[in-house]
Amino acid sequence: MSVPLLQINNLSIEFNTRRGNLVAVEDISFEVAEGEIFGIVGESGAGKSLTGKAIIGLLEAPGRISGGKILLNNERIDNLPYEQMRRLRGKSIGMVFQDPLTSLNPLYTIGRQLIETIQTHTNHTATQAKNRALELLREVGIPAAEKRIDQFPHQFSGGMRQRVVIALALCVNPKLIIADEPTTALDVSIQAQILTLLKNLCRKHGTAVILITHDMGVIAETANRVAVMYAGKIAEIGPVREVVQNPQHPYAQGLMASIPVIGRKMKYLAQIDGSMPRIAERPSGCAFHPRCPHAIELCNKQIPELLNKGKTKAACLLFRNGNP
Amino acid sequence: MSSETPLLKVDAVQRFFDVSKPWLNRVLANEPKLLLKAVDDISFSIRKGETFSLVGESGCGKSTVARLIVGLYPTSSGSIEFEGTDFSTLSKRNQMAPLRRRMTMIFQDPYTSLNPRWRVRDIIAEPIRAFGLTNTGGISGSRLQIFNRVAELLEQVGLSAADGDKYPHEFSGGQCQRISIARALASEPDFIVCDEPTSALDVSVQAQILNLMKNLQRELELTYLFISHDLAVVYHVSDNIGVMYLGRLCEIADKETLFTNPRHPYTRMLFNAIPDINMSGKERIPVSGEVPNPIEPPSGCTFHPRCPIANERCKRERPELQIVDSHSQVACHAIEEKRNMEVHFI
Amino acid sequence: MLKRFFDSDLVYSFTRSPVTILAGLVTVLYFLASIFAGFVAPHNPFDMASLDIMDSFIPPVWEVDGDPRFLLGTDDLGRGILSTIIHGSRISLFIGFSSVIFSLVLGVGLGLVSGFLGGKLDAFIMRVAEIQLSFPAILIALLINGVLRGILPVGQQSNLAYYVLILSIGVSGWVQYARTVRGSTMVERNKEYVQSARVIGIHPLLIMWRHILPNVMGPILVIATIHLAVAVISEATLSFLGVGVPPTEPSLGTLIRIGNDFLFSGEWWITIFPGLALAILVLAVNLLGDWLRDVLNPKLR
Repeated sequence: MSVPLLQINNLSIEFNTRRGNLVAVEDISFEVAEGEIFGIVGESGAGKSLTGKAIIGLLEAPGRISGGKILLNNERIDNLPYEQMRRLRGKSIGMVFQDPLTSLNPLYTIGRQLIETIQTHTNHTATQAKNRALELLREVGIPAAEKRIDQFPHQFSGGMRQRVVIALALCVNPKLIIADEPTTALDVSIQAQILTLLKNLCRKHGTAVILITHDMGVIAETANRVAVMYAGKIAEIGPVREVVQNPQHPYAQGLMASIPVIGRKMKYLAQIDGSMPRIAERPSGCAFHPRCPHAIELCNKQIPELLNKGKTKAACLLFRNGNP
Repeated sequence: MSSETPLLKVDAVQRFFDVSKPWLNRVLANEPKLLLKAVDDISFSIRKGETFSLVGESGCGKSTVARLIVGLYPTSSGSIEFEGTDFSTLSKRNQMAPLRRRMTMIFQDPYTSLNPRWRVRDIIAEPIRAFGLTNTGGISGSRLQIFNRVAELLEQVGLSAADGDKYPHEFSGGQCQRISIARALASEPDFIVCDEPTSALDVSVQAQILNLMKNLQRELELTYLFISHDLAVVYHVSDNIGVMYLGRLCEIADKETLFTNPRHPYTRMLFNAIPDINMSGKERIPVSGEVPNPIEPPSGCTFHPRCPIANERCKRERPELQIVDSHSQVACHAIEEKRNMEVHFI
Repeated sequence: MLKRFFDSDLVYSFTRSPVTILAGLVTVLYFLASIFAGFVAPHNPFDMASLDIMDSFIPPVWEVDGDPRFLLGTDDLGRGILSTIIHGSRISLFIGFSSVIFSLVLGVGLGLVSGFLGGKLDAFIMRVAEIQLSFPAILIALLINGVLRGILPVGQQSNLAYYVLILSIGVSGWVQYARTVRGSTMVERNKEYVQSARVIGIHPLLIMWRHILPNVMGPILVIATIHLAVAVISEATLSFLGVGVPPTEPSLGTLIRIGNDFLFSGEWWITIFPGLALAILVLAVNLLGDWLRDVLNPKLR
């Protein structure tokens, strides 16, 4: 089997504060293949955005990678010096953030921002760069690109702005795009447009996408494989269809059951009592055990590892001997 | 729809906001006044004990309707009646109080809806004190009464009485929303306006809050006006639903009718855009276009630039809500003319 | 409660910054010396009877003609410079402090009303503020000072000098408070907890007092601290110009003015030491204010 595009091995992320080290992400591993859309889903504070930022080297102090490796094309990228990381960011990894307004500079026309990015990472002439920018804008579905290229970000609507951000991420044909809640700020009808666009681009260029979101519907609709994160760890990882329709981990099961679905008539939604613990208050053993309906005594002592269960892998002690 | 007196009746309500530049700039640039028609001629009624939902995309005016009803904004025209009493006929503060007590509101953001400098106990007690709901037994007696009532409310929403001593920042988002609900219940209301109460919460917490709200509705015979952009949530909680687009209602129907047989092209488009969690594999047709600028809305039917079956009449003439059958009202020329729209939607 | 205070970020950041600790110590020292001036100062410079004209113009101790009774020397009337500085700081701080409170109450009140109610009243208050801002603050203080002195009966002028100063410095400084509070009020006003109070029908004045005021006080504390330094300087300037406190009960500014006359005749200590005292006080208070601003501003953390 060929080497996957991105490998995350035992990644941990810590925050050094004066009240001690807080471990935000603990010992997570996954792989992303070329051309794959890999979803990371979880509730706020689960560590999904931090994981994305760690991959692209944008962790902000006091957060830092405290263990593990990140390999892109089999080369370590987690310990690169700043300058090399910056070059890599432009060349191999693109990023799409939640808020399209803040990821564009309001003072420059979108054309200038695109051309600048293209010229930083290639040796295109100004005309070549401009043609490439126009091509990108057309590709992400911006009508009248020749006219729009000289406009400022505030002249675009939310959906159009997100398209520009995607064009910006695509500038230099990256192998991987990290999309952090790319549609959360958008209305449903626009969300559908952006997701379709991402999917098509991925298919066409073979770009891999890490799609970070809290919305299971978006994942179900878009991703190939998904990791469900809870309290800094991966609770379950596997093909989307399996995780969505036949989840194994008790947390994933609870999460799926708590989503209201059109057409499914029920008086009450299934609910997981309590809430996800804050970073500083994570319980011992399996972090989910205080809320877990199947918890056994061992759960507050031993940290579960990801184990094969059906077609997915779940981190739950219930599966430790191949049962139930 | 039935003929009994509704609990709340909104009749031809309009609300315009003046969004023009400051007077001097406007005069110098010789520009006319700009009016944003946030809510333009909306009528609906809510029966006692039901949950009526308003859905629509951001900027469609659904939150403005919520704020008009609870009196945060005055209406530009039209009337809002609560049990047959028109709000605009009540001018004095003490005339309003009995009605205000019976109608409260829950907001979207669990963190900003609680004053960060107040203890939870005082936050929940504010409506009790404001409406003088415990005026027996002198000051010390009423203080004890308030204390007990707050404890009771906290337990009713799934928190403990001891939580009253804490400040809002010590709670998670879901718990803060429970505190908001406790405050809303403190004045013993009949009617609660819920403005996106779960949009800022994670799904598992959303389920807790929705279940709590349903429980409370059953126990206390509450009536809800539920504002949301999430159709799945709306499906789960509502009895009747109104769909809004650019300040106008385009369809009102009961839940079953709306979700099994959506009529208005916009409603169909919205349904088409919902991510399919069942992974049935059906290919969606992504709708083109975006919500136009509400300051200069399109002529005629405001949806016509995005509508696949619009014709000349739609560009010219504004459709009014018309009763289609006993379950639904739709504002669409195409429906009225029975144009064939099946080719455009799956 | 006390434990929580010592555990807070404020205390933590204070103990981490040596400059701030020093500034804090100096400020506390000034305040203590001012409050207990009667006990701390070696002489009472206001007691004319105890003064001896023979003691005048004595240089500081370390100079050739120094006198161990007067550590920093004496002025033209034979008052010990150290004692006049301690008593002068007391007057300077009293006037500075009072005018800060006056500005604060006026500015915060107007800012709250302006930001919460908006409309024509807001426009009016803000235009007045802008007009006032187009003049230097000291000019406004001088103007008000002059008008008040013109109104007051001649005999009362030196008795009421303190209050005239407080009023004129106070009125010249309200704008900054009003603008800051107006801005934060407009943000808070749209927050949902305020809307929730409005839904219940709480009176707007009560909403401003109970809900908004506690949430806009953070930046005010910073402005007030820095403003204290400004107010002390304003008082010194007015006194230096001769329209402040009378020379019989001198503030730091008055002392500098008195000493200024003797600077060229070689008696440098009469003006230099009060000047240094003023500079150190203002610097210390300013450093405290800067630190407070950085700590309370989450963006700079």
